[in-house]
Amino acid sequence: MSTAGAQNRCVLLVDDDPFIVAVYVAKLKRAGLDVDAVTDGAEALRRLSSVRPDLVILDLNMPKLNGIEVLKHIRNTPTLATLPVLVLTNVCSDSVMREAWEARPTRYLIKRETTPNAVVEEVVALLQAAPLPAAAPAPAEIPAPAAPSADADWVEQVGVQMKAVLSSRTTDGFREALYRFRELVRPQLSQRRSQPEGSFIVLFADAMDSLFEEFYGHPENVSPSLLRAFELCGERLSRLFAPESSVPSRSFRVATVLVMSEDDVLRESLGRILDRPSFRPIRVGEMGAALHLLRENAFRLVVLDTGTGDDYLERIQALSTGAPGPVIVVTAAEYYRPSQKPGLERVSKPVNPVDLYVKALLLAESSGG
Amino acid sequence: MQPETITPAAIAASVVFDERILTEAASGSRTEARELVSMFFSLTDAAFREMQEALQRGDLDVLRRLAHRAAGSAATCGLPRLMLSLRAVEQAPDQPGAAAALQTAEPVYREARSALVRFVRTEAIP
Repeated sequence: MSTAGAQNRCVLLVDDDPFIVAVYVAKLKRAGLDVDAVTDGAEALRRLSSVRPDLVILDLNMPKLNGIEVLKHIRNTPTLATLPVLVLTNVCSDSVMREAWEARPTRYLIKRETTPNAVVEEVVALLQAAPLPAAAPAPAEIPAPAAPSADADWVEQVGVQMKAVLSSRTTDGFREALYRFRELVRPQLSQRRSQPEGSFIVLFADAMDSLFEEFYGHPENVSPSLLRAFELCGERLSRLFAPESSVPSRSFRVATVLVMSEDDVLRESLGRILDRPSFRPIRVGEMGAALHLLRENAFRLVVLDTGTGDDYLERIQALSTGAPGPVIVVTAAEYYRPSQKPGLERVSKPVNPVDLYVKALLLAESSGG
Repeated sequence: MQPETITPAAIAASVVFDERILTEAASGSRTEARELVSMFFSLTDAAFREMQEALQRGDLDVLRRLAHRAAGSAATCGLPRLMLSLRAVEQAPDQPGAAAALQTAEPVYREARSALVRFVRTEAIP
């Protein structure tokens, strides 16, 4: 097999089976290719947002985000749309194959009906083909958004696209609107990643990435509470890049957060979500102790599990020592209502880590990050 | 094309170990074959353990995902019988069916293991 024309080309291998990865990485490297391997779809999207390989080998049945979703993302992203994608899977049911074909792979191979050598030959042939398969222009129904600039028009567009996401009534409509929103904001956020690690803008960009991953990778987790986190991000984004504002490159000061829940498991879980370099969660399991700490110390944020009602919130707000700072109330899903009060947000149970983290970051920043 | 139903007869009729497939996967290298076999044992031992745990929890989604992945590894390692028996686990419609399929797959894995051990100990590969 001649590999001329394919040497040193970069292949992204996406498969959750370490054994398959080991076999194929060795084979592809032996053929003179550069290989990058990831083990789930969400990681593949992260990689594709920073690197454009020459070809993707994609499994379908994977945790976090399946291969069909990854393929759709590739075909719907203008900069990736023409990338050759070789689906390599053992999934061969009618419905899955149909869905995969509709997402337009370049080749579809069944693992048990092929061999590693045959796959490598196929990869080399695809890489040698010139021009590379142009099977997949961005779909007409999702026009590429205009190149963004941080001007008034861009800020207005952020607001418009955000509303389109929030008002979507169907899964497809939601994804389409989300796609437009992401394509609009991503270049701005990418540019700002050159800011020092730990600066608010970098943390914010990471938080938005996590939100997108959650929306794409776990659509079943989309809740009113998570959509509110998205809305807060959209609002903050508009203010961050408003023409009259300077982009804050300052560091996000580590935020000490009081985490109060009488439920041992929930308290530990909330604390762990915030156990990151940018936060210092202090866990408290009893309301009297929480009030005492709030009187004696300055917290940038309180995360409060109110149990059956809002009595605890009222007691915190009634503290005579002045405003306790912003509060996130953890509430049962059936009682969840978006807050109308500045400095007060709610997170519904079961707590989605992305939801809590995004709200905590934004509220802590507003109180002196 | 619907996935074919995997019968016990089809499993019994399939080949335990096709050494050409493993030899090809290892690019004909004895060292690489040994490494692959060692990795395969480690991953598949863990997969069977986790499948039993998932079965006891009644978590068929996890059980099917584990079986699907292990079947892929088995196919690449040249173990058609094990691959088929794991696909039977993946396709089991309910918990009793999954339990029965897993019970069938376990001795097939032991048999596959023995075949691989014999293979890496012989001079069958350069």
